[in-house]
Amino acid sequence: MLQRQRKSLTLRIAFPVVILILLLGVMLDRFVLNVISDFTKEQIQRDLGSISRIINNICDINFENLLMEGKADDRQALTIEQGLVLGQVEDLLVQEDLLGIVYDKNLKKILLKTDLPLEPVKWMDPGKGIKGLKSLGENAGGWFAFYEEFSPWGWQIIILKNEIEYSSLKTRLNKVYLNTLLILIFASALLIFFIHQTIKKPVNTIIQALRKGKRPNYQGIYVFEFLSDSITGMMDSIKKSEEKYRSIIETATGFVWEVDKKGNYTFISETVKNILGYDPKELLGKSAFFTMPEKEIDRMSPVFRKNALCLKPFENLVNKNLNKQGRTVFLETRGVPIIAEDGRLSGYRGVNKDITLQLIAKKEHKELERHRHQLQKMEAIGTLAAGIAHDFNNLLFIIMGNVSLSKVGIEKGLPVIKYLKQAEAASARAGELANELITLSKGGMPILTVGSIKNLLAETAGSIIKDVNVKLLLQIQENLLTVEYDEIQMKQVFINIITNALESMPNGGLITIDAQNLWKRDHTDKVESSLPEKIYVKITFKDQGRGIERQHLENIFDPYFTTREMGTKRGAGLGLAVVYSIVSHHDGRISVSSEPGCGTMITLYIPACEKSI
Amino acid sequence: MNMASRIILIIAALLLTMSGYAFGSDIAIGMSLSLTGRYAEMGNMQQKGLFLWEKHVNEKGGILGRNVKIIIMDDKSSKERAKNIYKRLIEKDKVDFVIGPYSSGISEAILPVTEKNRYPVLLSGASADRLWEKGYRYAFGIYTPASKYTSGFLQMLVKQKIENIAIISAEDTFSVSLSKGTRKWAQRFKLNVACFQVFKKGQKHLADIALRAKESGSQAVIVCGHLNESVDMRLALKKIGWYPEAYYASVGPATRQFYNILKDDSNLTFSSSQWEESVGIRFPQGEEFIKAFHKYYKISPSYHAATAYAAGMILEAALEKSGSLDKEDLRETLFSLDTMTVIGRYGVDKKGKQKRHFPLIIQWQNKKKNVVWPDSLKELDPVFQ
Repeated sequence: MLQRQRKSLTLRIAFPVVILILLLGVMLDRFVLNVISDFTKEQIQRDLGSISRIINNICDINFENLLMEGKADDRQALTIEQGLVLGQVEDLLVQEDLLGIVYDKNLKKILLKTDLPLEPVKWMDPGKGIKGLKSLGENAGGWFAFYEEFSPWGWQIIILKNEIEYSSLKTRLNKVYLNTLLILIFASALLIFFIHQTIKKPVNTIIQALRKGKRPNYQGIYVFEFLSDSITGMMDSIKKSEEKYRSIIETATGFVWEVDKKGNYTFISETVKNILGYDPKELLGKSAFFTMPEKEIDRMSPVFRKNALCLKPFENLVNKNLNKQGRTVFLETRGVPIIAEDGRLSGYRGVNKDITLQLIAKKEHKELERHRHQLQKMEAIGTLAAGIAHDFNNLLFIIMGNVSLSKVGIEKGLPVIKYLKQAEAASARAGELANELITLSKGGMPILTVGSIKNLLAETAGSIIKDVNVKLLLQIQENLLTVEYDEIQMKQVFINIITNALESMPNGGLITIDAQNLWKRDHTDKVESSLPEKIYVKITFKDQGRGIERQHLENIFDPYFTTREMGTKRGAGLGLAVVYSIVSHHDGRISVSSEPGCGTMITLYIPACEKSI
Repeated sequence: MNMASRIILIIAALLLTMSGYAFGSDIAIGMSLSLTGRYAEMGNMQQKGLFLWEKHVNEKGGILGRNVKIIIMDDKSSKERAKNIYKRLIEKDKVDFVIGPYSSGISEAILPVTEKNRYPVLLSGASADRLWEKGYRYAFGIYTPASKYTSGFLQMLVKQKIENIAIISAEDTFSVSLSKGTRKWAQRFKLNVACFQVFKKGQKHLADIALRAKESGSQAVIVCGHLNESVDMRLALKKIGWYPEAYYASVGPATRQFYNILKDDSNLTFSSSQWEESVGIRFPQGEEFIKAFHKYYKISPSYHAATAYAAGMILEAALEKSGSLDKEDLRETLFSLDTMTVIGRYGVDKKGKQKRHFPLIIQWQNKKKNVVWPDSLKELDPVFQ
């Protein structure tokens, strides 16, 4: 309260004025008191001197009368005369409000003594030949004595006056002081009132409005009106700026944040709700790593720590987060350090931008590029293979014709027939290869019909996985959507995949085939996320085989790529290339994932027929 | 305003006018006097003097064109009664002015009343110095102050080479002032106060005190009191068979009654007098006053009658000078006034105490009261035992 009073504007202005006035008053008082003291002394000297001369005259006249009457030596006459003089002197002293004594130096006796408030002999030293005015000293209480002598009678007349007698002057002065004081108090009150009215009131009006968060609207004194208007203008400007800033923050693709030096959020903009699903209040006070998975925290915290130690800003720091629903959100973090006045780090301020979609788009683009490249590669190989296969087929027909003719003319049982048969079988095998190569070429375009692949899938899988030590788990959705497909080619696809699976499990195992409608794509899957906006029928083939090495995964759809030994019957490496080609011709996609020793999973995405949706 | 209201207003105005002039157009001057009681002799003399002045002043046309009406009430020599009379005169009767009663004691009792009501009062029967030592602002003296009564007598003692004196005083306001003043003057004149005795007012037998005065070796006896005390002490001295060289008594011997009581025993008694015919006749209007007094009352006026008459003269002079009946104006004028009356000069100091009038010393010689001091006005030389 006292501190607040000390800071009061009125007090700050009025206090020095009052102090100045008081100082002037004290100085004036000192000065005037000295003047009065001198004046009093002069006045006492003048007054007492005047009375003293009158008394001397009285004595003189009476003495003269005695002389003129020839009674100067008449003792009785002298006694009477002196007695009368003493009476007149006393009357005069009483009349003039004076005190005094008449001392007979010859008789060493006080002849007259008015009612003195002090022992005269003690202070006045009668009979010591003193003349004129004498102060009786501090102990005598402000008394002055005027010494006069009437020599013919040996009288010393001492008249006393106290300076307090002149107190009326001081009293008047005190009245003046009192009046001045009252005027000053009144003036001070007026000043305070004036300050209150002209300064404090307008300032209070402005301050009160500001405290309430309102725009001041003072009308009156020009200066404060100007101040009020200026503040209002500034507030409007700030408000606009704030609104602009807020709208920027709220409409930004990222969210603005501030953390303290421990990395805990101290501010977080509303847009975080759109990005991470959290209300800002839920995150305030929590660590900036709160939304990151543990592995990401392990990866990011050293980076943050290192930057913080060097007071470095963050630039395009991509980090993985989980939103409130648990979905992955990739954020790009930018931040600058907040430096306190002492030069130490007090926190960071920055923006987190959601780049999940960008990353997906990038992945999609990459996948599409890879797909396009694969198609081009397949097309080039197909064109080449188709040409070779056509010519090869022609040559094979000649070879096979000639072998057949040779067999006709040769007697049964000859050893040459055995060789001719082998040549004929090899030629037939070469023909199959040539056909496969033609399938890869343009000549293998599918003849599409609409239907469910449900039965085809089940029958094909059932026919292949038979009489082997491999089990089949077939999971086909009841209401599987129909697709447009070429039955022969699609069957070839199923055969090739299942055959590969069987071959990867020489010791047996389980093949799981799953077919279902794909309504919602998983954007974290690079193939799914790259699919055009359609509904697909998703068919997954999962085996428990030896798997594929990571480095081979990219090449498994290339023609003649195989992980098996070259020269074996089934090591031509066209199986998955054909699968890829057929699926592509059906506007579908294929993905493969595999872990060595854990099996392989091949997924087909065949666009569902729009009519069935 | 209707007719009825107008009539009521007119009647009210008339009543107000009438109430403001309770004494008509006369200037009402009220006072109490001791017409009975122990101061009756002096009081009656004063009444005679005032009525004579009232007659004279009204014959001249009054004051400021208005007649004077003197209202006197008997206080029976009682302070309390006098005080009530002045209260009534001022607060109820609302007289224009008042004049003081007889004796310092009674005057002292009424002064608070006049002071409170701011009525200037001419004290025509009081001389005790104490009255002017209390700070009253409306009290004006006519008599020589009591402290100066005996100065002339003491001067005579010095001339007579008397050295030792006895001062015997009654215990009343006037007598105490007188005794103190006498003692002071005695010291100034280098007289030895061999005996100083005070006795209660009303004490009849003073023989013991007289004896102590005798035994003190005093050559002169000064009695401070009134008529009774002056008579009683004279008889006490006679009783003890002592006749000092000089016997002085205040007030009493100035009246004819003193002689009437003591007859031959009054012989050679000294006293002070504010006025005597032989001296008063020399003052302006003195002769007219004396003649008129003799004419109307068939007796000689005492100084009490003369001072009462003088009080009227002073009031008249002051009102004429101030030109108004305003009491504050009158007060200011009475302070500055310097005028002659039948008893001599009037003038007061700043406290209102008389400073211009001087007393006379009289002595009864051969059945007659004679002025024996001052030398310039004396009828006979003083005679000592």
